[in-house]
Amino acid sequence: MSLKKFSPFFFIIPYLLYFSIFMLLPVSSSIILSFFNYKFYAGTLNATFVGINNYITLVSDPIFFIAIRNTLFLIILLPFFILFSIFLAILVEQVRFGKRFFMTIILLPYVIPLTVHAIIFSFIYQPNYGYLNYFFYLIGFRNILNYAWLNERGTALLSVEVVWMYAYLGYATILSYAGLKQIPRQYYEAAEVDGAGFFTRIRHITLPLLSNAMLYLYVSSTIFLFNILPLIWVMTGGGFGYGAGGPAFSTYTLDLYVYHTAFRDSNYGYASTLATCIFIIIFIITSFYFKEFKEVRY
Amino acid sequence: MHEKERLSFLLLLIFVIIYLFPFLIAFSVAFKPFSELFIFPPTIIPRSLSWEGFSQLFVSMPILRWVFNSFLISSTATVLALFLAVFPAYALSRMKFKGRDLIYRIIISSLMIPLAAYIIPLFLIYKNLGWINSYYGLINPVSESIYAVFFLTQFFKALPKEVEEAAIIDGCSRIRILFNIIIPNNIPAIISVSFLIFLWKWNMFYLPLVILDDPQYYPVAYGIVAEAGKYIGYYNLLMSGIIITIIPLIIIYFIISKHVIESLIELGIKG
Repeated sequence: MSLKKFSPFFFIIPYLLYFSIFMLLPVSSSIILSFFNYKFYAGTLNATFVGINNYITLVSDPIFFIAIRNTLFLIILLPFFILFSIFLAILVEQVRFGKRFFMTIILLPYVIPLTVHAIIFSFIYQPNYGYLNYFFYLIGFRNILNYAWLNERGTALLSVEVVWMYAYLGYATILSYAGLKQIPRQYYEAAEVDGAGFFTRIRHITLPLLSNAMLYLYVSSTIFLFNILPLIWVMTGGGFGYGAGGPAFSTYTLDLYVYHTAFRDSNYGYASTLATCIFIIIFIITSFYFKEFKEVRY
Repeated sequence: MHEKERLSFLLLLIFVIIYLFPFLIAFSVAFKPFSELFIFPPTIIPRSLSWEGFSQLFVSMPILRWVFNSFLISSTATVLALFLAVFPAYALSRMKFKGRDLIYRIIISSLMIPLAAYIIPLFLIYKNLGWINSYYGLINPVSESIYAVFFLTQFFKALPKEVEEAAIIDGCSRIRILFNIIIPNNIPAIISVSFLIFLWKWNMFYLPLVILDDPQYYPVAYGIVAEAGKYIGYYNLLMSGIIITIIPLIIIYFIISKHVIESLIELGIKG
């Protein structure tokens, strides 16, 4: 009997050990290191405790604020992405013939590496010979032909995020579809009896009752948004890592800043401070989502 | 067909055609000669088909070695992640013990932490283990195994209690229940989560960027980008690299997409 009582722990302790070494330890050391000056100095790693000095540097670091601003810009556009995924999911839900086919195609870009999307889209975006500008040219915008989407401060980040959206739209659509499936049929039938039109039904039944799925959608999209680095790395600046984050830091993000600070400048202490900020930001954003989307029960 | 259904079908069809356009571009550019890359207007169907991109690719990048690396890394990582995850997933979903919900919550919430937030200590750990410039660091499925625990716990929960109780009365051990009842009943879910892990490992970028500088160990999706700096402008070469990178993924995906989509929907419903 006593053995039986312990058996859950036999199942779970090996994994908890693994989890502690490769997740809890790095995460907590990241926070601890943020209070240290930890640099390569004359060939060796030197660590000295500096209290909140790194954080003081942080609040007067213009690049940090640019990176935060860019991250917020990316997040602010998420509602459009999510609404579009819900719209697609509604379309998919309505077709009976070809449902599996559409789902398969819609999820396809999610399967493809972001580095691959990045290369394809830098070709599509390029000035003069790119397909996007040619398309605009064909529909009448003649003078857009030499516009370099990725080299203009105003459009670089947006252009990159569009590619991110393309890559993750399928995943979001599947989540939205799962959310739609959860809404009991009776609500729609009742609304139909009352004479509510298509858009009224979406606004007053679908969207409010999708609150649970929305929470899941927003949280996972935000997490996925922090995977955007390969796109920025390949598409911005000179391309393929040369001057990534450009032009003029307009696509510079926190994870790129962490990479540059730690692995180019070997300043591990300050980089850990930046890494800790990533965490704090995610914590703030997700708690905002949890507050915003209350659980609904059907 | 209803009026509404027909409209949805039509909209989806138009959407899918636009949606597949980048793939079409990749294939078309891969078979263009260099001289046809920078012309106006850009062509979709190459005027002259050419293997130039592919032949230059094989000369300039060890692409087949990288594909091999990717297969090695992704499949080992998948097996490892599943092996790590089934036991805790079973305990968390089907056993009652003190602190279970807390442990589960801690594991799940760590899914929200991006790699960038803990890459520095992880790099230092790997360095001490001698995992820089080696397969080990790339294979180690940290976040992947966490996701697998989450995924499998959600699915394992669904099996009716009675099945398991009957097995316990028959004297089955927990291990046998896991391998003879729980796992065989969740094969589609296991296929799906394996595919996702395989995919993420195939597609990883930040980790190889940090822990690799020896091209010998590059996974293919990282390699084409890491070496591409030397071939800026040679889009036919890059696109043929892309084709080789994505073909294995697409084939696997089309074979099992049914399971993947259904499991993801089910997971979405379970929360």
